[in-house]
Amino acid sequence: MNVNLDDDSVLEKTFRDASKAFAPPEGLKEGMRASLAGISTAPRTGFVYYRAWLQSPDALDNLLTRDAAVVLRPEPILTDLGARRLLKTMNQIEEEYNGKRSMRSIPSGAFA
Amino acid sequence: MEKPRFEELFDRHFEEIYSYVAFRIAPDVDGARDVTHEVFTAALASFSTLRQNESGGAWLRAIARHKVADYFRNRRAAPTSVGDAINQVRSHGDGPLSPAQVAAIQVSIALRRLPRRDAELLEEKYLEGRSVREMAGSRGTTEKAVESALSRAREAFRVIMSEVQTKEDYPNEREPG
Repeated sequence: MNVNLDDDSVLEKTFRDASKAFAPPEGLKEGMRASLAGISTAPRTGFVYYRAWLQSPDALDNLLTRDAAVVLRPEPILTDLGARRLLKTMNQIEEEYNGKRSMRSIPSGAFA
Repeated sequence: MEKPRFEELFDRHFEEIYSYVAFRIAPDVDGARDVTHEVFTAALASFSTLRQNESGGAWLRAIARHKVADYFRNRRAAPTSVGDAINQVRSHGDGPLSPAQVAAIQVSIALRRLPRRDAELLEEKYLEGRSVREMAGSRGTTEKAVESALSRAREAFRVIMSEVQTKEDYPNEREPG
């Protein structure tokens, strides 16, 4: 698709159209909403874990149990069981990802 | 203007933020999910800094732009050809890409081939709609300097886009089947 980019308005339209071309996959919004809700209601467990997972998913997958690792995977549900298991591993996580401690100061229920 | 609840911001802007991220880091479809998630978790963590009269959309877009910059800084991905990018995006979907998606991939790749400073200028001007005065202010320079830099960036973008549109072989996505 060739477009005339000599015109400023065409250039602007080209950029704006491009930024709208990709729709999110089905279910992603709901999954992300659940994740954010879990993070905001369980800041101590969920968020530190999530940040650590973003930094190094492989390392965390080795660190956590399989069930706990599911908690904040793309369609996460922060179950009581998952939260308890996460609490058990919090010290390990914080040792390894100490720099992320400040990130857990999320007000509880901010997304609820 | 009353400050919206975080959930309202999420509901209103999720599609826009995802689409922007997917366009900028195309063809990394998995990356688009992760970066979008990073945008909203960062927004949630710093929601208290959103001011009463500040546009929530502009605030989220600024976070998204920073997260996309982080993405490129951390990954140093090799330049991708349009053909490879189309094939990679198509492998995640159900069928051929739309002409708009092909065009978006062309623009995305052209932006990635520009010097980062030029790409940032074009994005601020044409995607975020910032004025030359605002851009000069945030850079601590003159409007004339920004105009000159924008002119050079536009020219470089046109040259690269021309190459991307005419010289690269890639699958014809417009013909069904």
